[in-house]
Amino acid sequence: MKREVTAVFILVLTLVSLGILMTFSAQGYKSTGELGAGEPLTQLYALGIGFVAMLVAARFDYHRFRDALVFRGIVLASLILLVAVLIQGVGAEAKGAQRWIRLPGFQFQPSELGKFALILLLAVKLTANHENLQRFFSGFLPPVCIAGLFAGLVLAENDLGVPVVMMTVAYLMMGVAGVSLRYMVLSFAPLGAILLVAIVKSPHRVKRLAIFLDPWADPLDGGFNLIQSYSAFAQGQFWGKGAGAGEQKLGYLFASNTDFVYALVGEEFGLVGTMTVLVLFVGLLFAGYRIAANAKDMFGALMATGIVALISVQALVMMMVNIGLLPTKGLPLPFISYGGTSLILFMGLAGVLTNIGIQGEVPEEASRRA
Amino acid sequence: MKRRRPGEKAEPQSPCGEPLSAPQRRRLRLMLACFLAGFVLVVIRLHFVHLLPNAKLSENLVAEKPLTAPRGDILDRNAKLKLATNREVPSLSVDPSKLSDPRRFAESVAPRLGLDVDVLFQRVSQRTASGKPFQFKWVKRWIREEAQVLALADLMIEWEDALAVKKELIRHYPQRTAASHLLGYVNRNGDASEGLELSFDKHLRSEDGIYKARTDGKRRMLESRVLEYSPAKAGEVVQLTIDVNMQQKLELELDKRLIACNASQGMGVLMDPDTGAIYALATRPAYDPNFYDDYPAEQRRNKAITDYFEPGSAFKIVTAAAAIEEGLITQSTLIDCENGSFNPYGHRISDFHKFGVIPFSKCFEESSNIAIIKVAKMLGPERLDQWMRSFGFGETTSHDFSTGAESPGILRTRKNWNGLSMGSLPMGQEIGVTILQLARAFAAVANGGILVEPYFIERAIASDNTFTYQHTAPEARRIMSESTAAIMRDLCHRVVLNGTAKDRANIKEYSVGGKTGTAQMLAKSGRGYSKDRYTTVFAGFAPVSDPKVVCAIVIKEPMIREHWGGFVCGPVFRDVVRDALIRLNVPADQKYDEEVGVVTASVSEEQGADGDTITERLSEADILELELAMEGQLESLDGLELLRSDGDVVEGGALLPDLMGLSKRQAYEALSDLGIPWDPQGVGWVISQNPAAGTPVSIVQLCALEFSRKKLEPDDDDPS
Repeated sequence: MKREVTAVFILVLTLVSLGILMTFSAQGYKSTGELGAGEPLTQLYALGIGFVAMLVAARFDYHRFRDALVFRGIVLASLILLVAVLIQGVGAEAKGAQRWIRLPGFQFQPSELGKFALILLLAVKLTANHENLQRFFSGFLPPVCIAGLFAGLVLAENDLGVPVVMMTVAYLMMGVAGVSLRYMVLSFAPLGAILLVAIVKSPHRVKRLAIFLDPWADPLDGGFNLIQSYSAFAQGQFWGKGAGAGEQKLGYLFASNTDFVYALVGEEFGLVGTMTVLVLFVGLLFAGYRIAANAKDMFGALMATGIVALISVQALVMMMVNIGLLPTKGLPLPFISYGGTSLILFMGLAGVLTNIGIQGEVPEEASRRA
Repeated sequence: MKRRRPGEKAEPQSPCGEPLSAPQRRRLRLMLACFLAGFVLVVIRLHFVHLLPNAKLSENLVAEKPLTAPRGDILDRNAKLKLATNREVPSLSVDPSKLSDPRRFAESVAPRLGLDVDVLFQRVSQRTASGKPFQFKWVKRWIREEAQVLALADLMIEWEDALAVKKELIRHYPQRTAASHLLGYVNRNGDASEGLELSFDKHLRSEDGIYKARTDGKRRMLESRVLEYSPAKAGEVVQLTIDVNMQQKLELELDKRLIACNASQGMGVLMDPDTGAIYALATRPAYDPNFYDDYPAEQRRNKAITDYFEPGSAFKIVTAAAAIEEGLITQSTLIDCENGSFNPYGHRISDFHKFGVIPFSKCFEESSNIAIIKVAKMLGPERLDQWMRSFGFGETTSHDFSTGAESPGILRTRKNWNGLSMGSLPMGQEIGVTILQLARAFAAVANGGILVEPYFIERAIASDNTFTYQHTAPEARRIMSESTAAIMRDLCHRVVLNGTAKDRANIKEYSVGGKTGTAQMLAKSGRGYSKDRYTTVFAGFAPVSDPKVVCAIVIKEPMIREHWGGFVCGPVFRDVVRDALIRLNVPADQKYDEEVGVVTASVSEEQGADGDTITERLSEADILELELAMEGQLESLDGLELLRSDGDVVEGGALLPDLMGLSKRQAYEALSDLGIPWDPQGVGWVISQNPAAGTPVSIVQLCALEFSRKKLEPDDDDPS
């Protein structure tokens, strides 16, 4: 098996193991339920499903995603769900955002499926249209519209983080596919304007931005969690306090098992732990890059690019939020944060990535050496 | 794995497109570079947040909780009854700001808690300086009446929003007034005040512990993050020598007697003469430490240790013991009592009964002032002073009272004596003694000459059952010889049998020795003595042959005609000591018949000789020796001679009477009236005497009597 494929398996397994550890650590505190976390066992079930998804996806020829029936089905289903979640009574609210669909026995976030659908759709369209990519109307506009549709639907859920991630991933895929950089750069202006409106229109986003700039301006309310996050890293120092020994999760740091799990890693495992997690993601980035670069065809390469971009963007943004480099965005850390849908999606995506890697060409350097 | 063979490769126009072109790979590398740049940014920032934290970060919350433990119990001598313990009682508070109608509240609540409606209304309708109602006011603290505690439940339902109940552990004295002066009390703030609670506070008080832990975000203390923990230490249990039953008996009898004699104050002490262990120490009127603030401070004062009084004749044992020990007199030494009136130091001394020349034992029995002043003169002021001090007067008696609490009494130093002192001190005037000093002096007589240290704290027991305090007797301080003590016991016994305490302090089952005292109190004006206010005293011990208890009773200002120590205090002594001896399982040493007096002495039957016999033999041995020594002394008496004309009276030809058929007591009286020592054998009635009746008394050295119970009807055994 190719080295990068093995690497993806090992890296993902390491990350999900750490994720389960962190979930149970955060959950050890009884009151976490009140603070927005679920049962750690649910995460174990999700992990089981995630393994199955990963193995199935690894053996499932990625080309069959391109079959019209398959990709249209996935895209359609995800669009329906994204619309459905907006309907009162179907979607469930959490922390001011309408993100969940609750079904008897489980609940999931359509936006997670939406991410995959977007990557798939873009990969299909960009491959099909690869000769016209330099043009504006036939090359630049269609993928932007597709991405805009998905991002817009998620934005309508009153969620800004996922749309930003989606647009970023879409632009990266477009860029790698060969869409004109000029159009892309020029489009930053209107996109930036939309982002600004989205921020200004929502008072809590303005506040978050202000807090990001100076959390101590409002240490007991808005700035509270970022300060607690800093405190977690500071208490972790170099080696950390040890697994489970963190105190910030005990009612100080909110979302310590989801959006701020990196801070919890920082407290319990110190700089060593946070660097390890970062290195694992960088490793995944490299493996994904090689798989994309050596993919057998452009569809596979774009799929791999989208997947690795999604994982990396989300990880990077989440880490930056935790360490105060970006304003607070509700994004989970792939493979680690608590949340079944996200875990299953990312493990499934990792499976797809490995399938692309398995089918990819033997890397030139490796074959030359061989 | 699905692998395409090289041959299958290269379908030029695949719908999936070709592998990435060189420009596409460049863009992929660009993407990789961007991401790496982002991750590098994170790495740099991570070092800052981990290792160079913002100075504004503060420690997580830490909370402290004091841990408390109960104060130590105080137990009685048998470690069965608690004299002080702790009890949880409710206190009711109200948030007046939540009362819409304070008047109705007051009217509803006050009657059920025994409070005044208006007072309560005032309290709950009070306003702060800014005109707002208060948020906290006590309705009633320490609700202890059963009915009120029960009423609380209803009140809580009725005024649920405004009322709050706090349970507090308070000091509780289950025996109420018993030994309350000794115990002291703990006030509402939990501070030990007065008495043992104060003096032994360092043993009794509990030590608060601390529980310091980090808290979670909701300020709940985290058991897994304990920073500091030291458990609270319960106070030590203190075991006293006080016997609750004896204490209650003493208090009861004192109270009864105060009423009967219309007296203002009383106190008493009951002590083990051998060890100094105090069985009971009472001051009347009483107070209940559970409700200490219902009583004036004066009534809470432990007068038994703070107040001194003039002991009067009870103090004569000092002079008597000194003179006997110094070999100046024996109990048969004849003394001229001047027919009851005497003027030695320019001050008239008179006796209640008029006597001529009688033996010293008789003088002591009848408490002759004239005789004791004559004896004191023989002793001289230096020795008298020395003896009073060796008996422990003028110094505090015990370590068990808090420093400064116990009065040393008043005993002027020798150089401050005045011309009358030699006429006053021997009969217990011009001196202030505490009841403990007096009891201890009698204990020395009772125990054979050792001055003990009275104490009431036996031990303190820590929670791990180790003794952190254990009373140890100080080195024995012998102040007189065994034989002197035995003579003194005999003298005291006579006081009860024939003398001033006759028919007052006698106990049916036990032989008693003691001495009465009656002293005029200082006039309220502060000048001279009062004509109608007396301090009456009785101090004594029982059983005489081997005393197991010593007891002193003082009753002040009896407003009755018979304001004598024997009359006023004797009955208290009798009832208390009898009760104590029975409780101590002391076997009865005599049988008593209303008509014939002491019938038998069981001790003498067992030992072959009763206390009197032993006493007599001891004193007899001294007599010849002492008579010679006295010759010189007598010459220097200078007008204070014991006998005005030596032998005048005896030469008159007094003859030894016929003692046949007399009871032991009668025979004893007859002989002692003549100052003849006796040697009794057996019990019952006299069946033979030697020398025979008619022998001139002047030549009788010793009268041997043989007793027999022959006459005794078995039915007559029990006098009642």
